[in-house]
Amino acid sequence: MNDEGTRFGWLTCSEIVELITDYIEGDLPGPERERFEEHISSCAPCRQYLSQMRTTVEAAGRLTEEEVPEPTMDALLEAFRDWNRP
Amino acid sequence: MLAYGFTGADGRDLFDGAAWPAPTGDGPGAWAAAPAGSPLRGRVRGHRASDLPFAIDDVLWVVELDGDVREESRLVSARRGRLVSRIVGWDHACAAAFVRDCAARAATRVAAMPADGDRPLAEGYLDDLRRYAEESHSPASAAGTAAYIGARIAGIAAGPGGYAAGTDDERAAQAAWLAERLRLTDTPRG
Amino acid sequence: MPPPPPLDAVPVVATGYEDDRLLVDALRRGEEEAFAWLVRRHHEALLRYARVFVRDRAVAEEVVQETWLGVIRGIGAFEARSSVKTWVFHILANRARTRGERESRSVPFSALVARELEDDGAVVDADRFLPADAPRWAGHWAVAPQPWNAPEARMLAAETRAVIDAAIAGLPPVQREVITLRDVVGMDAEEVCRLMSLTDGNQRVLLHRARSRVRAALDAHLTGEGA
Repeated sequence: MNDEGTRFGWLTCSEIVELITDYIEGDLPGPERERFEEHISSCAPCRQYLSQMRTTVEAAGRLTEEEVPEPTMDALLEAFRDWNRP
Repeated sequence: MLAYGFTGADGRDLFDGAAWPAPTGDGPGAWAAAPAGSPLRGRVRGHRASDLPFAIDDVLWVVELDGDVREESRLVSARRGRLVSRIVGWDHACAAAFVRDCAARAATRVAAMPADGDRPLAEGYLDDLRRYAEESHSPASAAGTAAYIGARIAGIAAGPGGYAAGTDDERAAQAAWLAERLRLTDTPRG
Repeated sequence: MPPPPPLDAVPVVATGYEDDRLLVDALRRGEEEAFAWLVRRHHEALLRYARVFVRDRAVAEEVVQETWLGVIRGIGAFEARSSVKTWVFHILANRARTRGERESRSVPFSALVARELEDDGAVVDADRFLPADAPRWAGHWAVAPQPWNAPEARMLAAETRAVIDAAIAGLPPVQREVITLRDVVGMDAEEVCRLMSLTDGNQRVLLHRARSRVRAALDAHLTGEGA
């Protein structure tokens, strides 16, 4: 009586967690994306997880905002100049 | 093309996380696009009235979509979109009424089921619908959950082979309720 | 080297060199501004990428310096088969791999990939979900993830960034490389697959595992527990 996934085709939260990267990247085919979204629209914990995953990716992308140290830049520009001297 | 769209209280789309800038006093919000790596591969979405039960969130808007507009299953997609105006009738009270309505329809369906078979399962879901609605941290969240569980109950109550028709039927009833209550046409009139 | 063209032949454009053709032209003409722009844009990301292969920060810095020298010398022959960005990272990857201190230096890359694909642990513990024999909602959250409630300021704080950094550093090597290139450096899937010789399918699985682990580390840090 009980295998709901098989009977009704609904995704479970543990399946959502496994599909989350494919979803975020746009790699789920149409019908699967639709089932994923039907679950997300109805499940606050999974919405939370999705939002946290997005925050994680955004935060990782902010790790490279450091300035180039001046001595490093100077040395590189000098090398560039030397190579390009006519 | 004009359509409807939900966002969170923070102006973000619950599916692709994109931020839709709020309309200013003078006119629509700025155009928003989605990044290439996003669920619709760089396209934004809006909805017809019939799609709304699948996308419920805190704030309901009239939106404008532009750029290769495509009508798809459960959404309308385009290259960019913007918020035009808020539909203020969608508020906490409306969401709560929506939940009560889903529960009432579900209860009727369950009561009409034969006593054996899947009826105990459906009764369990009906309990869940009421409980999750109460425990939800926001009325919109409760509405989204109630809509989903209501559809599940309708599918089960429709009996062997009737599952898909049952859920479609319930979703149509949900959409009709919203359209009537909020005076929506299939897509907004300009 | 030919003398630089007279000033009136140089197109007056905006300061960015986002267009690769403009960038390559400017670099070949010896325009320092273009080279400085390129260095600023990618230097820190290159350092992060180098650290995937070499633990020692000083060695990583050397590898990045060598990479830039390789760019200077190689730009004349650059054939634009990839973006300039991908090309620069490719130069680094070659240098870093030969100098690298990978844990399993004797293990070929394909074996590392196979090992990391096999490791079949679920990204969230099974006991966070209802079991298969639950009367309803089997497989749904038994204990929901905790909200992070972290304001922007906390997400940007050095402490939080250190947690992410450490989580990435603690990943198995191929996952570490994939998430660094995709999310830290910002390369798209196609470029990463080309650079790393990975199939799209494998790249997606590895990215998924990596991101899930980093999310879990952030979760533990922000909630004091962890899902």
